[in-house]
Amino acid sequence: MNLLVTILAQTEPTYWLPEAVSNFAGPVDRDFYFVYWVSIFFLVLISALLVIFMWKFRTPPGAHAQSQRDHHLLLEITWTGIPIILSFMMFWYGYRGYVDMMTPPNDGISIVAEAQKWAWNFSYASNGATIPGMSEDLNLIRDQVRSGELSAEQAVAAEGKILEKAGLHVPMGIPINITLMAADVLHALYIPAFRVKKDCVPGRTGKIWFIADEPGIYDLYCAEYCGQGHSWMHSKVVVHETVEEYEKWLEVAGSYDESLPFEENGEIVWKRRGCISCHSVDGSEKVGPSWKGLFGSNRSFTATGTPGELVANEAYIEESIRFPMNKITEGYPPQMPVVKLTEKEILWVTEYIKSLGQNSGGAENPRKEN
Amino acid sequence: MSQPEMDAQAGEGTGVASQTDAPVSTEGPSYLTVTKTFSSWAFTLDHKRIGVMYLIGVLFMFLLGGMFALLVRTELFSPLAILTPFFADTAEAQADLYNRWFTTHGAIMVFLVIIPGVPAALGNFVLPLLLGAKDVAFPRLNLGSFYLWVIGALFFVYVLFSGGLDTGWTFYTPYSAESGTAVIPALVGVFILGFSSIFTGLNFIVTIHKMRPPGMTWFKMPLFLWATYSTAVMQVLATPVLGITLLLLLLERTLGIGIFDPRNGGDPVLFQHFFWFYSHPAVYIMIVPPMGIVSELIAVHSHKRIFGYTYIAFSSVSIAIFSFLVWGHHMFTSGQSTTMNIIFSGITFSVGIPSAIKVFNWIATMYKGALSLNTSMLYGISFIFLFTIGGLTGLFCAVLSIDTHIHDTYFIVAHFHYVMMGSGLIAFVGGLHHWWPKMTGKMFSEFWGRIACTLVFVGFNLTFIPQFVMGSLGMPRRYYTYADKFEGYHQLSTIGSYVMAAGFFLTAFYLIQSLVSGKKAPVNPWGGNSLEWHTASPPPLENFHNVPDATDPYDYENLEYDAATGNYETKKVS
Amino acid sequence: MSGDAHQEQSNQQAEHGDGHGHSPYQAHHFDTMQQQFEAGKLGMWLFLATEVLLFGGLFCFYTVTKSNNPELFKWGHHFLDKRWGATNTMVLLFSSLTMALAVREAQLGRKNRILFYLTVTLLCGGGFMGIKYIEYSKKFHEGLFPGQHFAYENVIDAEQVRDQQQEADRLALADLAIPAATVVSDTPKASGQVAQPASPPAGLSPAAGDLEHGGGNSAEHSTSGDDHAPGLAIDPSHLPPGARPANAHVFFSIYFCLTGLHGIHVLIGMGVMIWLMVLAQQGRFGPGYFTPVDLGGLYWHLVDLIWIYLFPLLYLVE
Repeated sequence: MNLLVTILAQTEPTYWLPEAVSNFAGPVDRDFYFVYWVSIFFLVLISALLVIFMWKFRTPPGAHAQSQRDHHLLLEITWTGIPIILSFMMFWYGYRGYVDMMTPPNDGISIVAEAQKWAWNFSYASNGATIPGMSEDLNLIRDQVRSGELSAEQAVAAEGKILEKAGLHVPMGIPINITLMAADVLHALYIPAFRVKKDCVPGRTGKIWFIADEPGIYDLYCAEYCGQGHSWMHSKVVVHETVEEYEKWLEVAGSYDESLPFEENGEIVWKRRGCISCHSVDGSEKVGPSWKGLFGSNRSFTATGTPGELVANEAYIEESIRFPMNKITEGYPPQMPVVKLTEKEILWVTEYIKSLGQNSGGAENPRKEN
Repeated sequence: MSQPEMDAQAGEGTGVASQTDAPVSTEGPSYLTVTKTFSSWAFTLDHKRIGVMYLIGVLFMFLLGGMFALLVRTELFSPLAILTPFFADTAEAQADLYNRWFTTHGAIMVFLVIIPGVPAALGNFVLPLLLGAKDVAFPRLNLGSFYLWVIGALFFVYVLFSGGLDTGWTFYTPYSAESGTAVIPALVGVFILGFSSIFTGLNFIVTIHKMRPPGMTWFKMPLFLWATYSTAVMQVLATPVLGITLLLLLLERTLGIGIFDPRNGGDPVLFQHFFWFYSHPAVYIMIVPPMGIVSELIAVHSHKRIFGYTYIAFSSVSIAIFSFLVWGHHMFTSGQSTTMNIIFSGITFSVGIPSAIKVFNWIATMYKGALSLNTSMLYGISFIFLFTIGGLTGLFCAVLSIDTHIHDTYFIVAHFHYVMMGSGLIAFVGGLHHWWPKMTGKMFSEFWGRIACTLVFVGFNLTFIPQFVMGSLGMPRRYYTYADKFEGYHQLSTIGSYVMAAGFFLTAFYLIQSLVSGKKAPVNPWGGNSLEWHTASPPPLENFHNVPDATDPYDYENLEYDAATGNYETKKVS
Repeated sequence: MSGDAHQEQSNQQAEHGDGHGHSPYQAHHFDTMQQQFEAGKLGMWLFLATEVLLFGGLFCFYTVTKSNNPELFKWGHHFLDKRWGATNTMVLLFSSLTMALAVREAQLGRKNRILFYLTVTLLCGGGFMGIKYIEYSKKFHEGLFPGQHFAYENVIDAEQVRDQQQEADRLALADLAIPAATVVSDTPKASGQVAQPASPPAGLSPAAGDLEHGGGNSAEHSTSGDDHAPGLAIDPSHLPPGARPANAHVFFSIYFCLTGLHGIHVLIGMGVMIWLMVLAQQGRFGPGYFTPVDLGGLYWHLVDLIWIYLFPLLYLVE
């Protein structure tokens, strides 16, 4: 039992479980190791019996068994009774831990996590700011580390730079209530270090809560299969040591620098609001049309929305953002979610698209050629 | 029935139902040789031929599904793209490809291999033999089930050639309602396979109820029949719900009827309830018949009465009943209500008890037995070990607080592979070896059999134990690429899958070789006493030359081994 | 072939329930006709259980929707014609009676009577499907399709016309100094008798209305709103009272799924009747062998029973 206590006291990862840094990690790990040692006991018992019997009772063909005894009431009662008792204990432990998870406190910080294919957006109730998960940029760093372009230290620095304006940020020691939403298909928010997970279901809201114990940067995953970008749809949780530090971060991260040129803010919107997961800016193929050379090009639309053709102008871009299902470009699936951008954000994005090359007309939709 | 009564009956059994004293006639053509035209197979109503055709189909699909498993494992050897770049250019297309692979692997293995594997392939062959019957109750329906299976399989082949499927085998909405892949043919295929499964189950229930021979009461049936019976009940009662669910999903996808897709006013969680109401019992459809096989394997190859017959029989039935009440444990993190989660968690533990009872009874059967450690027995013992791990790790998933952490991670992947493959398929392969001499009339190489079994056993554990670790460390499932810290576990897992594949290929080779040049099998090579060992190997067309009376399937004392023929012969009983 | 019946001892009228001698209809793998009959009957009951579960899924769909959105049913059932539903219930009940009589005659081996009762049952099934055809074609004509193809614009058009008429009625009656309150209470029926306006209201844009009421998908169908000019697809007087609930199409999804699956079963049942008639024509049935009629009857009763549930659940729900 002492061993168990020492295992649970630490927040470092063990062989079986990742670092334990939330109020739920302790109880969950305790339950885990209870079931674990019970399982190990029975596995060793059963394996030992199998091996011993295989060795002791092996015979050449034709031998007769030493005994034909086929029942023993006391044994049956024993191996029915003990599992029943252990099951009740396990159920009880699990129940206790789970009810805590399902009982959020009334105070604390409220954050909305909205999942879409394939990006996270975190909206903070205190100032309404929406901060993206920036999965794309984090993936890029991962790729660069693997290809040797970045050293480990450089990667940490680059990641830190991104997380200044991205990721789920929470202060330490205060209850965090997260409301989960999904824009398109099922997703699930999973933070292994906090031992929390819940599905984001479109058309419903879900709730999770936790108190982070240790400052640091932790992994955040999508755990419910959501298609092509499922494995890229991860982000980071940043735990700040104090509420002041957290609030300071939120103020900076939540604002746009309005002194920047429109197209630069547009690029930030493209990353921050998740456009990046479906629209490339270099002409490469993704779920939606690339923005490169989009402005001024001829668009033709499928019968899924309103069929027809037009030249992409500012009004068309605004309509496509506000009512994505109205005009579906030929060759692309009708899958774009409604992302509620502000007037300014729409303006900036439009300028950004313009800056990605004007098409003097006549260009075909790229996918039609393929 | 109490235990003493059982014994009394067992004792009487030999007296009331006198065993066939005359040596088993091996004269005359077997079911394999009685007719030889193609149509005599294609339109056969003989359960043995239908069973063999199922077996060939299932093994072919196992090869196909296994290939996709190897593709998936190879791709995951590194977080970088390994195989997909050979087939697709952009990273997006490569991820899509991976998603198609794991979906195809899962769907083929579940719907085309494991569900029909034991009941339809082995069950079809063995069940009437165990009953001393000439055939199943509805032979035409049986052939119809087989062709439904073939049609369903063809739909899947069509799916493979029309862009694949990327929804995961669970078809979760709303993704399955909008995925651009061949969802509709896959749904139709599974729908048809469902009817195949229903008709097989219906056939078996009626056969067991109405065609037992005189003297075989319910509690004198071999345990494989209890398991098949419980399975058949689940097949008949659960599969129609899958049928209607898939039909509704099909309508959601084509017409947008507004049941499962929130964009049309539906509820995705409702789909999960519908789906798991079938698919949880389906898990037991996959595991209960293998448990029945193992009950036979352990008893026969230990040459000892099965321990705790009634407990094993009732545990099969209780698993069948409980299986309908636990579907919600697949949805602990889906957002269903807290109360429901707690209830489902509680009931889930009740499934663990009968499973534990079975395991301990099998081990007790081995105690003081005369163990022949041949290939079938090794598979049986592997099953007990792997099923123990599968069952114990199921406890982690049933504990609500732990499941919150490990749900949808590789822990779950490893857990259900231990149950569905490590237990289900291993027992299937064990049963295949056990009844191979009876089916084909040929003996296979025990030497290579034991080596292959060891390879499969070692490979399997090497594949999936690392997955437990990385799952509990937080590696989500269905990931095309992953964080670097999981790379070592993935590499071990991939190597394990190759070892396992080598074991299965070796098995295929020596089994095929036995068909060509195997020794002729005696009537009773293992020393079993259930009725199938009282007819020729392979059996004649109508199974028995003289319709036998029921024997006590677990009475091995009257069998004497003849080293010259490798046959166990029944001593005369006075 | 192994499936062929043993012919060696073909006692034409093998006594039912006794193992001596083989009836020509006894399959080789059964010991007695009794065993064969019982096996068939058990098989049929199991099959019926699967049918109940198949429909059970749809009834779940119904129950979940009803408990979450009862207003859908309050609104939607007004589009269903209770008279046709009741007629169909009578037709099916009667067919169950004739089916039971056919089983009875099969047990007695009276060929002509079997044929007569089977024919009546078949005609009832046909009548049922005919009535369903009338009901379905009315729905399709009005654009009340299941799912995304549900023509919200038709309903919205009718609603606007109705609202305008109500407004006009109210004003007209107000001129006559009749208290308005009494008129408002019986709007739907009363307004149907008032002449429709010559042209639908100008500036009617279904697409605009859809965004409010119909959810995202209906905007895709706005093109069909262009041709509503001369006549409305739905008579405003047939509209349900009260406001249209969100996702109104789901009611029709349930209606078409349930009655559609049931209709398919009726068609299969009619096929079974024809098959039984062929067998009866060949003189197969008698005291020793009537299993097919018996089992066909069980199936037909189940189909009938399901309708007994569907009728109140869909037509009479309030």
